[in-house]
Amino acid sequence: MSFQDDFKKFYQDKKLSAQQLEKLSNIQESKIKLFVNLLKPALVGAIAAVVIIFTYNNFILEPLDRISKEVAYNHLKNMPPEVLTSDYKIMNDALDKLDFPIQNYNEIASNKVAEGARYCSILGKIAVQIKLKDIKTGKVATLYQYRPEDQSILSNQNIIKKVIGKTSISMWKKQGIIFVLAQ
Amino acid sequence: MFDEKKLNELYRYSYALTNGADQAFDLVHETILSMNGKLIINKVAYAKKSIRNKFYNMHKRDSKSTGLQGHNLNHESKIDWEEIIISRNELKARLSIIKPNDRELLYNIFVEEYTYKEVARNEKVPIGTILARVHRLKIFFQEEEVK
Repeated sequence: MSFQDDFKKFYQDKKLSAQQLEKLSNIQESKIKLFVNLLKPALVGAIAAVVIIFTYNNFILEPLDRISKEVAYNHLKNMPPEVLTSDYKIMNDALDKLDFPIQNYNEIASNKVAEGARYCSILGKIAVQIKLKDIKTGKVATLYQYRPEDQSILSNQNIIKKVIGKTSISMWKKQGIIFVLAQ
Repeated sequence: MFDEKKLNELYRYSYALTNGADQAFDLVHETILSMNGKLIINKVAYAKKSIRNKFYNMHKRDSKSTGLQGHNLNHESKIDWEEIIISRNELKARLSIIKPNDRELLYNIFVEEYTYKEVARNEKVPIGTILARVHRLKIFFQEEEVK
């Protein structure tokens, strides 16, 4: 045998014992465990992101900001009315689960006519959304009405105006009912 | 991760560096533990590199240079590995004398079957350096008895 063969054989004869092999096999991480371990940081990150967003939306954002965001999002969805009427009496009769009477908006703005209404919710409370159409321009707006449990979030004198994305929001309170106009 | 064949492959490489069964096993054991939790594509190559780094980190002082520098580089006759005849015991004895990086060099050439060029590229040294080391090793293994 040549030196090369002797050398090669010398090392090829070196083998792990059955006990050593078992020990090394036992400390090796399975593919499933490796996958779980790799997913852990991503999972922790996702949970942290959800907690941060939830905390920001529910505890850090002021109630009026939360209403504005919710209404702007809802307005863009452009949901069809459940009751197709411009008559506020019919609306009130049809949407009888509300804990307040739907107020006639035409008393405030005569240039907009109601096309219909449907239930919705604002900050988890039942509300109504009325689809309005501008008589002159044909532009659609949505008016929301709801009675907040916390009456201190908006005073009767104030009209709040905000812009969320491309939606302008006007908010005011009358007789304990908050009105939010999104257009 | 590693089957029996691959574990033995890592063990042999580790043995070539450490020249001891227990140390070789410990090095493989430590390397596998350090690989847990990491996403590695070429696991065997990674493990060998890790074994090598761990070993040389532990033995920085005595592994940097070859132990055969005293040998006459100007040995006139051309020696061929084929001409070197050595008993197993003598081979074992001489492997325990040479430095780890020389054992690794021979292991890479005869067991892993790398060319001198590949070894030089892996070790990031000129090919002449590898040839000189190989020449010294040939002389050392050709000598009749260990001094």
